Amino acid sequence: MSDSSSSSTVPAGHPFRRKGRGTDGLFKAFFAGNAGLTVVILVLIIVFLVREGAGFFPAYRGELELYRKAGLEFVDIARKDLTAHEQMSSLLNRAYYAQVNAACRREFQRSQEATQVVGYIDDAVAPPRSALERVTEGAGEEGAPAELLKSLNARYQSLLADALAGRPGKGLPPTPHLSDEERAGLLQELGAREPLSTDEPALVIALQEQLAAKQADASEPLAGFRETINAFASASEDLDNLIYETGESVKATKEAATLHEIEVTKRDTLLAAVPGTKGAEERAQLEADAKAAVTTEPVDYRAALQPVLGRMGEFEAANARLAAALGEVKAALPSDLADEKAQRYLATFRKAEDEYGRELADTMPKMQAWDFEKPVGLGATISGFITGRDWITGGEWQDFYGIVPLFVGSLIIALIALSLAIPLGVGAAIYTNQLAGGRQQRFIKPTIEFLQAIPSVVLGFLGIAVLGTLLQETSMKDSFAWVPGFPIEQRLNMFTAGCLLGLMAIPTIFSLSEDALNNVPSAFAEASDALGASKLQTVFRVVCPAAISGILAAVLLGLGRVIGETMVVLLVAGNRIEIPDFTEGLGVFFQPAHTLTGIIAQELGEVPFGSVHYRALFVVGMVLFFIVLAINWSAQRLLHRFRIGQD
Amino acid sequence: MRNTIRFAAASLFAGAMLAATAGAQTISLKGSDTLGAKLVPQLAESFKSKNDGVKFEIAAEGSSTAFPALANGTAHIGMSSRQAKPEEITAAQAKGIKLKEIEACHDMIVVIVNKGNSVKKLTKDQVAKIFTGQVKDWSEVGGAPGAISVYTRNTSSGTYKDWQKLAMKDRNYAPSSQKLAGNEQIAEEVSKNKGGIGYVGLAYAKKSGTAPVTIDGVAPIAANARTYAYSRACYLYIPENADATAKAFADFAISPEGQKIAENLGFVPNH
Repeated sequence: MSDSSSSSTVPAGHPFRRKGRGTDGLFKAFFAGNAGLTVVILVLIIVFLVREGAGFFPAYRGELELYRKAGLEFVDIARKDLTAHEQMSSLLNRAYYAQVNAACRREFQRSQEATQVVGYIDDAVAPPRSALERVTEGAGEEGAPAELLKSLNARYQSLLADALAGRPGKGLPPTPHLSDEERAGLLQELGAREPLSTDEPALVIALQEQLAAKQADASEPLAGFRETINAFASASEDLDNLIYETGESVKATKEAATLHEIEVTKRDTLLAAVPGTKGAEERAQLEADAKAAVTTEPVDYRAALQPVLGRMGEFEAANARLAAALGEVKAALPSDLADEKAQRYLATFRKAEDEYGRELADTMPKMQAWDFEKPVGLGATISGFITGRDWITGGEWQDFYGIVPLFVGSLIIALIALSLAIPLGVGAAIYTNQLAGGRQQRFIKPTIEFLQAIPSVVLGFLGIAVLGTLLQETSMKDSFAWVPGFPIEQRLNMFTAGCLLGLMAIPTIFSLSEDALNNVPSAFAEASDALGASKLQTVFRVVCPAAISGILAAVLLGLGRVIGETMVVLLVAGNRIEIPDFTEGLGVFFQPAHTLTGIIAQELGEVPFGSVHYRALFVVGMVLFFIVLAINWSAQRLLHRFRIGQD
Repeated sequence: MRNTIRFAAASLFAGAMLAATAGAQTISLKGSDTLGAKLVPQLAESFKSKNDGVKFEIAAEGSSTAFPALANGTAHIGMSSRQAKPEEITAAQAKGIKLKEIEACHDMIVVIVNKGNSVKKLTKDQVAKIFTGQVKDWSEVGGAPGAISVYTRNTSSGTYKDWQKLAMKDRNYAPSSQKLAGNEQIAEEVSKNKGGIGYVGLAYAKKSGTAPVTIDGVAPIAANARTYAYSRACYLYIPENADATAKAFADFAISPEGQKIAENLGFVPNH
């Protein structure tokens, strides 16, 4: 500092010199302070994240240890079989009903069409009807005012007449499978119906009866199949009861242990408050409270588990019964079902048979080897978090924190978003920078960058109200039936969320790619031109390859933005905590999912401060932080690595 | 000039002070969405019309948010669609706040399906199987073939846990269930999804596009509150040392007039 001031051209002692040095120093200190503060804040955030999150693994390990000691884990080993058995039964049931219903398609359509007509009329007359309902309900003994009733009735009649003529909305639904007389009869009956009547029209009832009769007919030849399914399904009764009873017992153990722990904590809290009190009386009161706080004995796990483990024989019998039922069902199942869908369910069942059999065989050795005293390792806790396929919270049984379904959800949504944003963003950048004229440039650039100004919650609403509904309605059209995953059942799904996030990433990718293209020295393009290359050749063979590192960095930064976005995925992605079903092929994109960011936003608001669940969400936050950090870091590395023509 | 500025600043300051004293009359309520979305705002309106100058702040984000807020002193009254857990009461007690429980009204949880669904009757057992994921197709419960989409509240909701207790024997929800933020959203999604099923408070069961399901032959209407399978009580929690205005409001909620408001909104009054 003193060196630089002595070399100044301003003579020593001149007022300029003092003043200049003073403000210089001030400015420098101000900016250094700003930079320092930012760094400090960042460090504080990281420290806070780590401090809140670090407690998670030991605490979760404690929970898992209780889960084991109280015997919940033991019951869950058996429960796995029960769940698998239920899934297998469900498959057979679906096969059966698909086969039965295949014969009744026409009856279903007729019934549905009639119901749709009734629904259309009901919707049209709903306002005066519900008003009438309220008026007559709330009238009491003196009766509703006649004037009001009259006007409401008149309104009802006029709306009814309109609806019967098919005027409101999209018009009366078509009924290709009903005869003209049936349709006319239905409309006539609806027209003559009392405003407050809730009776189904005769045709609807008749059609339902026809459907039921047809179903009964169709199920007759399948009676054997039905019995096979029933026998298979009822084989789990023993295990079901056993699990329910032992489950209640181990849950009571866990509750007793938790209650004891709470009481001990309460005593400790009260005792900790003792030194701070002033009067002796208050102190005595607190100490007495503390003494009274612990009312339960610590739990003796071995004794509590005895009745559960003592039923091992029953578990064995129940397991054997399931295995026997599987053997029987294998032999008794029909080899083929005529309906294609039914056949598919049956084939799925056959494919799963062996695995299910192996699982059944594994269960007993696992249960016998199970030991409630075996400690839960910290490594197992951590790997349980990273590779866990269940994120179950707020349950009475046991909370599990497995990050895989959330991670997969985030990843797929990001993929969808990028596959939309990369072509659009990079393409627009190439066009604007290389091909567009000045006027177009001045229009396109601000327009795209304006997208960034839309708040994400607004985009979320747009996603639900417009994009989701539009996609769903479009997917219902027959002409799109060939698209995998169509028709879309879930209005809230990963695809809609991905599209919106893609929109949000476009400005980032666009501006940064455009910058990268801009940074390519003009000599490159000029040299290419001089060699006689066409404009397109220059753009794609020379300029783009030269800017590729910048473009890749832009894409990565876009990815970082997509992964970190919360509001849109929370509103639009559907919040289903399950690993998507990849057997559906491309249809997987139209399933709902939950995300790393969404789960934090959804659950952090209400978790008790300092609980395991609270800490789990912080660890999810840390995972997110590191993902985004890694992405941004690689973007920086890319930029430096392949920088050309500048140094 | 300077005097004018001083005067303006002084009057601004005085205004701010006035506003702060008026703010002392604010009652802040936090907790259950079931209570906080319709019932409590209407009670508040009618309470305001009688007591001038009282203001309300209502945050309805799920029953679990009520107790931390009461313990931290950020809410005067907690709304909950389930009873407080022992650890929640202990947590409040540790901060010197003793909670008083007030049964505000009863609510029925209604199972709703899409209007176009032909299934309008289910048994308790079928409902449990649908929500735990054992039954996946409508044809298994007598409807037209089609996959079942289950919509539930999220974990912060008292209804989420109540439903596990009332309808699912404490088993876990099917992993394929979708967790939504409120009654309104569940009704909205069910009305848009032909295979949708969800549960909502009675007050939300009349949304167009959805149809309530009769359970074990009992229709979900207020008159059947005693026989219907999924009825539960809703509570207000208030600290014993709460200020008079908050206490007056809690008393108003269980007064005949407050109960009448609850009844009009589709809740079941306390006898």
